[in-house]
Amino acid sequence: MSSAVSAAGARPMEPYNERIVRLFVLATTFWGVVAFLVGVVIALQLAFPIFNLGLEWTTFGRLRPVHTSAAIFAFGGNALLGTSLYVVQRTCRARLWGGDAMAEFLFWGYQLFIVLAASGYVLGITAGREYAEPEWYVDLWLTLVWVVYLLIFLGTLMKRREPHIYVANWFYLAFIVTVAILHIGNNLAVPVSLFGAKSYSVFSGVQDAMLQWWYGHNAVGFFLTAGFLGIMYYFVPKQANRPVYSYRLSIVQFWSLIFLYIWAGPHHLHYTALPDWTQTLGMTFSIMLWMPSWGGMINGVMTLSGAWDKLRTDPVLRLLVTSVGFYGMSTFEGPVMSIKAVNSLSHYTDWTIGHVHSGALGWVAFVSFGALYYLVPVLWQRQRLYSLRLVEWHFWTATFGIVLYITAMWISGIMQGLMWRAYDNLGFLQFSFAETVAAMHPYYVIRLVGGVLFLIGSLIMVYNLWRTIRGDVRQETAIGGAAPAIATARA
Amino acid sequence: MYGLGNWIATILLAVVGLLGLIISSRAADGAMALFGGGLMLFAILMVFRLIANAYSHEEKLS
Repeated sequence: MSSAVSAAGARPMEPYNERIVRLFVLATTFWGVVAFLVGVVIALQLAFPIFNLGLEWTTFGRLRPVHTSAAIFAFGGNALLGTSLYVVQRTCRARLWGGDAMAEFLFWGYQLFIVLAASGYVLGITAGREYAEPEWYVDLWLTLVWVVYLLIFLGTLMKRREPHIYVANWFYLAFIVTVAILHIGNNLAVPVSLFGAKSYSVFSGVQDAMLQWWYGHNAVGFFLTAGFLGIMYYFVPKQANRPVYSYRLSIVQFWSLIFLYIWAGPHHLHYTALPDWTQTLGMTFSIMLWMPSWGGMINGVMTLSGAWDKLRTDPVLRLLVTSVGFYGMSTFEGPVMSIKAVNSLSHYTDWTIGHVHSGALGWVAFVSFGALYYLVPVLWQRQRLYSLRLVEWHFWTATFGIVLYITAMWISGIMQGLMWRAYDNLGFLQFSFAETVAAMHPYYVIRLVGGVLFLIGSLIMVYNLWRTIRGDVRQETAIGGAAPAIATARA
Repeated sequence: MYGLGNWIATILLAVVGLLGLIISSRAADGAMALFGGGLMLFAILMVFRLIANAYSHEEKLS
């Protein structure tokens, strides 16, 4: 239903602004495919360097930030913006604050940011800061767009018709506010000229590195964790048709997560010029992060209490719950890797890449896919998804892809670390760097296969969503003997 | 609210578009020229979209 009526006896409400959510859903799907496709291309380049094509625009160095930004900011960002605007309206029973023009500006302004950033990377225009590569003028544009986002979200919360602010909105708000602070702090720079693209950071040396990883790790913490926990706390209970397992635990998780995450950044700078106590502080806070991370994971999984049978019959719920499982796994692995002794082996190796992708593909992408499968029938007012069988195909193809990817990177990374530190009995390094690169080749090919499978899964999703939007319903036998869920019943 | 919001947005977008033109005309390099042009194009397309949305809204009401 696109319109909503308040509780019995109360006056009717304005219809929700669902058009803007539909736009974000389409953008999420589009940018998701772009991100996965570029990921496959750069995996191909690492396995077979000839695919760099000898052109500066198509080299790994320029395409890698296109992949990471497309995955994090274009795919993940659009998923977060879209779901947050959907959830805040539904849980506050209020239309978006600021009118339709402001929401339109947010959507198109954010797409302009993505295009400016990506085209800049390909052309070699970069600030050289990981996950914050856009130059100063693109940063300023994003700041403007983000302020509009904050105003819309806060304004909607303030005019809510519900006395309580649902926990998903807390996570979304933490994501919006903290990302704004991180973005501004990390990108403080002096342009060479007001009308030139190049700028230099106002920080230098180890302070610059510390600030970069304060930003970088909290981009993981607040963009890829807090925001997506907002998705989890709304869409898992909705899809399972069960209340959150423990609302109190969700509040405890919220405050402990946002207090602890902000200190964990220095674990990216172990054994560098950063003071030793700062490295230890970062490691300690990273280990403490186990508690809130697993609190959230347990809360998400246990929301299925009394509804476990749905995992057999509902592949959308399976995607959502698997995402929570991957969240638990990667937030266990992260603190382990932050321990200095472990980090001395894992840092600069492919183990880190495997870890990142278990979070990015297993947690971020899966929870987003679950939200997309939930949202499309509701937003386009269709009876149900075109095909639940295709969701099942998507689930297994993508899961197999992730498993291939992360196991290949774990083996490759640990092998790489061990080869780098191997000495012979005369005290010389046992392997040259080129030998370690050659040893990793088979794993790079396996990673490529995993990425291709994940991309195929996303294309299956695109087809399924497209047919759903067209209003088609595939006649198919029910999964596990259950009748297909009807979307309108939960709208 | 619909009309007022559109008017405010259109005025702000006009400022953005003008800024884009200035940046593009004074650009020291290709990236800034592209950015300025992009801003101007964005502002124009956004204003057209707001006009189209306003007409659809009027049609729904009538």
